[in-house]
Amino acid sequence: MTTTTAKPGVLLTMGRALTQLRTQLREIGLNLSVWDENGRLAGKFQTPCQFCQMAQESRAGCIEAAESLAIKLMHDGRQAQSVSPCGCSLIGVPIYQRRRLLGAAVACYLPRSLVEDEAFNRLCDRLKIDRQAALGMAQPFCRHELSQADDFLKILGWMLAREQAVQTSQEELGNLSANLASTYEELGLLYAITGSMNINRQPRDFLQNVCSQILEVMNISAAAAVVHAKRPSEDEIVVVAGDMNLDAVQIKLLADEFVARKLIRDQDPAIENDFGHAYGAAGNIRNLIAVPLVSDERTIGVLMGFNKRSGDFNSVDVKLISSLGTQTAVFLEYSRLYADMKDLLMGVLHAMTASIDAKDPYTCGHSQRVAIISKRLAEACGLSAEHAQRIYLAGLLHDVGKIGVPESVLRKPGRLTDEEYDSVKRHPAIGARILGGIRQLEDVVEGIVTHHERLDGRGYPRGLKGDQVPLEGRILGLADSFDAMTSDRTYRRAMSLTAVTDEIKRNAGTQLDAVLVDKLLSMDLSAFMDELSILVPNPLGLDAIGSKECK
Amino acid sequence: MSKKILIADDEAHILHVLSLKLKNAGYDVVTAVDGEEALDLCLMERPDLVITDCQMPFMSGLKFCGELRRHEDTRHIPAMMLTAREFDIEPAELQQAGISVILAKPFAPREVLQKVHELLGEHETIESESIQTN
Repeated sequence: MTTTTAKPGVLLTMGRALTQLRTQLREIGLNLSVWDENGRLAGKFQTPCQFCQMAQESRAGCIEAAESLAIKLMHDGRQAQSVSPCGCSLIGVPIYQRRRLLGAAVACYLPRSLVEDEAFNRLCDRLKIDRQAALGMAQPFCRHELSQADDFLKILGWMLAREQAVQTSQEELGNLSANLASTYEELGLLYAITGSMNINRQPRDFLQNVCSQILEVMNISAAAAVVHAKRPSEDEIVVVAGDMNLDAVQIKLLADEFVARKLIRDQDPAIENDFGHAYGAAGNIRNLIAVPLVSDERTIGVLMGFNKRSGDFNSVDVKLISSLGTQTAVFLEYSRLYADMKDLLMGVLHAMTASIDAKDPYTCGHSQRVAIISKRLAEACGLSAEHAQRIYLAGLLHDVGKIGVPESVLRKPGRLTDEEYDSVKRHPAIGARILGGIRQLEDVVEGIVTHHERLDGRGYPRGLKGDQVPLEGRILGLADSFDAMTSDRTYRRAMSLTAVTDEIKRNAGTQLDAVLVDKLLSMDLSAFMDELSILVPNPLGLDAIGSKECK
Repeated sequence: MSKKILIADDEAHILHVLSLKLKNAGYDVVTAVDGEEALDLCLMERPDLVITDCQMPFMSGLKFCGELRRHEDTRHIPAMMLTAREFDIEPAELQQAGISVILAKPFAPREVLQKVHELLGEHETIESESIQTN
């Protein structure tokens, strides 16, 4: 038994189903051959037995018979059967996919009646084969009756339909799953980007994350973002992700060129699937997708993707990158607004405290230093960054109430009278009153009003004792004392660091919190003092306002 | 009698998703996997609306809709196109093919249903889609 091989045809899209069918039919003694829409053999033809093979050599075998049947099937589009010159029974069904005729499946078998047939003897004579030898070759393969052909035809039809249905379903399921998977990826990307829109995040960081995520989900070779500077003081941001060796300069040029060429018209996303051809430029860029980052109807930048790995960019990519572009623009705008508000707030607070400090030339820069020292102490206590920042604000504003203390008292070089001292003692409460109306500073006020309280209860304004003095107040109190002692005052010169250290130690547990004192004294104070003088050199140019003594 | 909608797309999952949505909304649905099949089915089934993909084997969605206009019996059938390359199609081409709505993939099935209602002049949404999964 030999096989004849033909070129694979279109039919082979059904390959798996047909192979399965062929294997099953062979088990029950039926040999299946498949013919394409042009009547050519697709795959192999296996003759049922050696006798058929010998008959074949004299063009009396079953291949020609199968071929003729296949052509007839293709022509009629209906099931049919025939008998080959060598006596094989042939049954055939057309193969359809949806409504399209793809080819034919022909099964052949040797019927039992073959060897009893006079035709068999005649063929043996014609082929010059010994009848007994021929019988020996053919008989073992004669398993079925000729009359079963009708039933086999039905069964073949059913099996083919079923195998095709199974294969189609499996393919559809595969495609559906692949589609679902990429949809999940897109959803996941959108969720991840939305979730990562933390306002404290640096814009560059955020953009980098967006680019590297797009890279994977859109299956592209590179992604980039350009965000233009809004003011001269800002830097332009350019980020790139991927493996195309595009540098920031190239990306910027590309973004500019793209906008200049009006590919991004009306602030809509754009795709160019034939970039190299259309622009004959930009090195290895084959295709690209770009979406302008629009905030408040202004284009603030561009988000771009390069070289889709499979095929062209399509509307699925456009929708995805547009959505990301919108989110990115929103994030950038919020981030900018947040930074602006923060800068404005800090600017106003610094101006406010500098104006208090200006009342007393000797306390020049004091508020800022207390703020820095307090923050450092808060950090040493292991408080959160946010809590430490609140304590910084409290430090900055701790003397705001001095606005209500007469300048003559604050600037008085000698000893204060009881009355004068009473007016000084009112400043924590005044400060609390001034800031009390600001909802956002509620917790800051607590520190301000208690920064002159002492653990032994001899502080002011409320004479709180021990645990009653909140941590913020203790930190501010220590920072305030430390800065007061290390600065010149109207009534004395700055003390030496050794003297300051001794004085602070002496007051630990009575005026000051011993734990905080330990934290402070364990720092390298002389280095810290140098750092402070650099951080607060001559705050806000107070010299200009006329405080000659301000150092 | 419920209205009949023909959907043509070579992506089986689109056919599945849309068939489900439209059947649940009470429509009869017939599907085709290419433009030729869609045209033959239209001539046979006379749907009230066709929804077609653009890029399909044997005959594109544009060609298919254009062909509909050439037959007296199918000339009036409103058409909607769902495509991933809507940017490649000129408005004039759409008009010529009698396509009144174009939606870019990926689309929300709800969106398609709403457009179907509009095209069929059924502005009131069919009350609460019955929950069937055929």
